[in-house]
Amino acid sequence: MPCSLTHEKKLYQKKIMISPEKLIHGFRGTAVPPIMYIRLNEAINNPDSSLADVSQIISDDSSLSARLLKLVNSSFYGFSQRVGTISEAVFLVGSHQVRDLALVTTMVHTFGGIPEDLINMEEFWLHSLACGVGSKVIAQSMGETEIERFFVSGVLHDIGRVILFNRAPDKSRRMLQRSIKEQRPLIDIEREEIGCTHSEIGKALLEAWRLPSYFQEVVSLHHKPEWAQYYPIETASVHVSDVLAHSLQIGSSGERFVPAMNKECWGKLNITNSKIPTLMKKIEHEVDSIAWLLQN
Amino acid sequence: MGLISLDKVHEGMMIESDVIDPCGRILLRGGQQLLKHHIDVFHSCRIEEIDIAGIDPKDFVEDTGIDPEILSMAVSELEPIFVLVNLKWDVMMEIHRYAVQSHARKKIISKKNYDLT
Repeated sequence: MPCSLTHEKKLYQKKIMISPEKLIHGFRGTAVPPIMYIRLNEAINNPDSSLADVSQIISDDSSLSARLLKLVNSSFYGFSQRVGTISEAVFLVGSHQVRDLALVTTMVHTFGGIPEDLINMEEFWLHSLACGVGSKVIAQSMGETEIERFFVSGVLHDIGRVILFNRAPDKSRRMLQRSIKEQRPLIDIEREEIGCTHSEIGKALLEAWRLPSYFQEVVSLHHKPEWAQYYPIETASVHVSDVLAHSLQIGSSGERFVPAMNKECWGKLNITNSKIPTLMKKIEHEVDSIAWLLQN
Repeated sequence: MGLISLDKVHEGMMIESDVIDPCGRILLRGGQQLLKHHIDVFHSCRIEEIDIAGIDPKDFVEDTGIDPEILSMAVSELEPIFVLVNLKWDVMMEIHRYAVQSHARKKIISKKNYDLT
């Protein structure tokens, strides 16, 4: 019923008290995306550049190179032979995909300034990684080829919450307490208290950074996956993997409760019930194998 | 018939329908009995589920080897975080079941580590 959906959407979008744009404005470090992402993006979009140029940009950063090689050689990809150089990695994985992976490996060390009592950032990124891995595992089970976009979308899904915690720590603390006391999803409390949600703040950030539209839609709608117009599978897979990551208690995004799952979205992913234990086991195993990404 | 995870099938079970790999090749025709080398081939071809004759997946309860008392404690400890989900929906029921087992395993490991120190 498209009419009622549109009406519901309008209601949902009303009463903005603090705009997401205002929240991201002035948040140190968010005016531009990480410099590595910008350099890689420029090289990819330059018709005169080659894979060698992309490889060189990554190779210039020894820490990033080591992380990417470790990731490409982990069970995340499961290549049968060892990938020895960045050039090989870029050739095998693809320049856009490597750019997105570089974004994630850089971002987990970028955001700070959040009170420890509000959220432990390592736990936050662990939850994000679990969601990324879950989304990637679902994509693989569906035979999707561009698994990196599923992974990165999952890792970025709650990025708006980092900004919220940083820009409005006292209000965030009250919202967390209210959510627990009233046993209601934190996102509903966000809407009531500030008039927008971490999903909208995250989208505003990725929009300001001019990140690809699939990341924007997934981040924006991971709690309302039924509204996804252009990337419904990516959005559904992140929505479901968020439920799985919460159920497995891997890390914490600040949300105390396992979110309710949308039945329609589950249906889109063609996962039979008997596959659920294998899926969850894979998430636990793969998160363990790439948790080193969070170490400095 | 019942789709059973490859981890749970064993020799002697009867295949209900053809086992097909991700490229569409038939690996084993339905109606045959599973042998060990079939299972090895299925693992190498990344087959995840097999349609087994005469089995209802709901009745196919795996033996987790976890002390029922620890499982029961895990259920209680997870109860507060599952308050917003519909545990009558079979999908969430299965997710919850695995989450409980995982939580119970972590409790066992944590206790072992504590005992060692």
